[in-house]
Amino acid sequence: MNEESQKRGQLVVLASAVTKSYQMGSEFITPLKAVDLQVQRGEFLALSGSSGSGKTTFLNLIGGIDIPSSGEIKVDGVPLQRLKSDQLARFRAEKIGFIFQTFNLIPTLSALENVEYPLVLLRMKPSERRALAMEALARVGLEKFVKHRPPQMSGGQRQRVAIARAMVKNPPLVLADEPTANLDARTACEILDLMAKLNRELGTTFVFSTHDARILERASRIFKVGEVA
Amino acid sequence: MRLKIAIRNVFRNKRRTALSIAMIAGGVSAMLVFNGFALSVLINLGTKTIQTQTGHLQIATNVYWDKSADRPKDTLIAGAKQLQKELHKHPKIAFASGRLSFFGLLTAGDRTLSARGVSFEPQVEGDLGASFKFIEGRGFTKDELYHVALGSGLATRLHAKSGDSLTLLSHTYDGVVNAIDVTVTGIFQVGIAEFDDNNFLIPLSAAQTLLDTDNIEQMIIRLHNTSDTEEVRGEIQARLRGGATVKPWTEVAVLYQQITKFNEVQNRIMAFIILSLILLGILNTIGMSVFERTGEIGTVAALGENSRTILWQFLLEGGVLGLLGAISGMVLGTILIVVINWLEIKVMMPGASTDIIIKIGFFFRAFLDAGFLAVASAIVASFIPSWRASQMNIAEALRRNI
Repeated sequence: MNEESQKRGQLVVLASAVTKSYQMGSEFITPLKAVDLQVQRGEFLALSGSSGSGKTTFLNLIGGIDIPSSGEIKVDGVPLQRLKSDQLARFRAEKIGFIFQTFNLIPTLSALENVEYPLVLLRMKPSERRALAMEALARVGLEKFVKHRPPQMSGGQRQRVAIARAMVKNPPLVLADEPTANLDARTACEILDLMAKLNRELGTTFVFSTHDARILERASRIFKVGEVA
Repeated sequence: MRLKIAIRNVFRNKRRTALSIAMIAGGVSAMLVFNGFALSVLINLGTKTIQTQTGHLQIATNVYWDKSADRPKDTLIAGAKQLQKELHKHPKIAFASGRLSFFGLLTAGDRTLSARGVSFEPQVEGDLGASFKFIEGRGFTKDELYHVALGSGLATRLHAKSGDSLTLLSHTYDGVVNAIDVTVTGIFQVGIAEFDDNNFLIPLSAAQTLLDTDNIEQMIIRLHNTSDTEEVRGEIQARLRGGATVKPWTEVAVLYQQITKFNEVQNRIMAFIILSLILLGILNTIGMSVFERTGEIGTVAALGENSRTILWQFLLEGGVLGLLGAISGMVLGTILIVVINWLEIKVMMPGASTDIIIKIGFFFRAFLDAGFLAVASAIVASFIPSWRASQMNIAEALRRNI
C-alpha cells in the first residue's frame, strides 16, 4: 500500500526501519534505531526529541547527506541507499531544500547570489536564475536587501535568505534543522509563520526539527524520533 | 559565478592573501631578473663570439673538423676565392671571409711571447671597428699588409703599443721556419680574458705569406640576421661538394656552449627553489582556507555540490592566487629591471677581461615561463588541501558551523 502511494506521488518521504550507528572512540553509538516515517506531500511536519535524540541525524539521512547503517529511505520515489556519491549530490541539488540552524549562508556572496547558488548547481542560465532568485527573495520580504551580504544582515534576515535559498528551485521537500534555535522568540515565530505560509501557498513539504514547544504547536504533525509514524 | 566566488574567497583574508601574493611575486620577479640577466649575458656573449671569432657559419674540410689529417696542410681549403665569390651572391650573407689561425712567436724588443694569430680580410670585413673594441689605435685598412692588432692582455705582456714594430715568427705548412716584420695598428679588447691575453689579428694575405700558402683553413660567413643561420647553413651544405662541412656558430663556440649549459642548470636550481617557496606558501594559504571554511564546504555539499566541483573550486582559488602573484611579480620584476639598468651597476664576470655594466633584458618568453610556472605551481600546491576539502564528510563538516 505504502509503495503504491509513493508511486502515485502521495508520499514524499518513506523511511523504513532506518538505523544509524557510528563509532565514537571505542564505543558504538546508535542515535537512530529502526525508525519508520512516512511524510505526505504538503505536510508541515515537526521532528521532536531532546538533544542527542537523533533529529539532525535523521534529517541528514532523509536529505541524502548521510547514509543509513540499515533500512530504506525513499524521497520523492528515489531510493537513497542505491545512489552513489555523485548521484546523491545531484539528488540534493534537485530535490531538497535545506535550512540550517546557523543559517549557513556563504559570507562572500550577496543575498541574491546566495539564493542563486542552488540554481547554478542546476546549470540554469544566469538571467533565468536571477529572476527566480529575485522572486524568492521578494517572497520572504527581502527584495530591498538583494545586495546585502550576510554579515550586514540580522539573524532573522539571514534565515529568510536561507529560506529563499531552500525554496528557489521549488523542491518537493524542504528540511530545516532547528531553524529557529538561533533566533529570539519573536523572530522565531516570524520565521515559522513564513515557513508555514510558504507551505500553505506553494504546497511545499516541510520537515523540521525542534525542541521548542511553541514551535511544535504550529506543526501539522509532530513526529517523535524513534516512534512509529 | 564560480570565478566570482573564487576571487571573493581569495580576498576573504586580505592579510594572508597579500602575504601569499607577495611570496609569489617575489619569486616571479626574482626569476625574471635572474633569467633576464643570464639571457642578456648569453646574447651578448653570442654576439661577441659571432663578431670576433666564429661568424654565423664556418666552412671547413671534414679532416679539419674531425682532426684526422696527417699533415696540417691537408686541412686547408683550396680555391677559396671562387667559393667566396659564390657566397657573396647570397642575399642573406653579409660577407664571407677566409681565415687562417696559427701559433707564432711575437718579439717586441727583448720580449718574446707565444700567441695565436687569427687572420681577417679587411677587404671584405672593413677595419674591424664594428666587431672589435679598439682601446688604442685602430684595425686594418684595405691596403695594409704586414700589420697586426694585439689583444689588450697580450699587448700589456709584450709592453707593446700601436705603431711599434714586432717580429712574427712561425712555421710554414711545410715545416719551414718563417718570419715577417709587422707594425702594431691597434690594441683591442673583446672582453673575454682568454682571447684578449693570447690573440692577435693579422690580415689574411700577411698570414698566407708567413705560412706560405694560398689556401685558407675556414671560410667564416656573417649573415645579416642571426635567425637565418639554420636556413642558410642548409642551403650552403647542399651546394658544398663532399669533403667539406658547414657548421653553425653554436656548434663551434665552446665557451658559449659551456655557459649556456651552466645557465640552464643554474636556472633550474633557481626555479626549483622559488617554486618550492611558492608551493609551501600556497599550501599553507589554501590549507588554512579549507580549515576555516569546513562548515561552508559542508553547506555547499549539502546544497548539491559534488566532490569534483568542490575540488575545482579550490583549485580555481589557488589558480587565481597564482595568477595575481604572477601579475604582481611581473610588475615588480619590470620595475626591478628598469631600476637595475638605470643604476648601471658594474661587475667583473668570470673569464672577462673588463668590467661589464649589468644590463637585464626583457624577454617575453621569460615572462611567459615565470607566469606559467607561478600559476601551475599554485594550482599544484592547492591540490592537496582541495582534495581534502572535496572528500569531507558532509555531516561532520556541517557540525563545524555550530
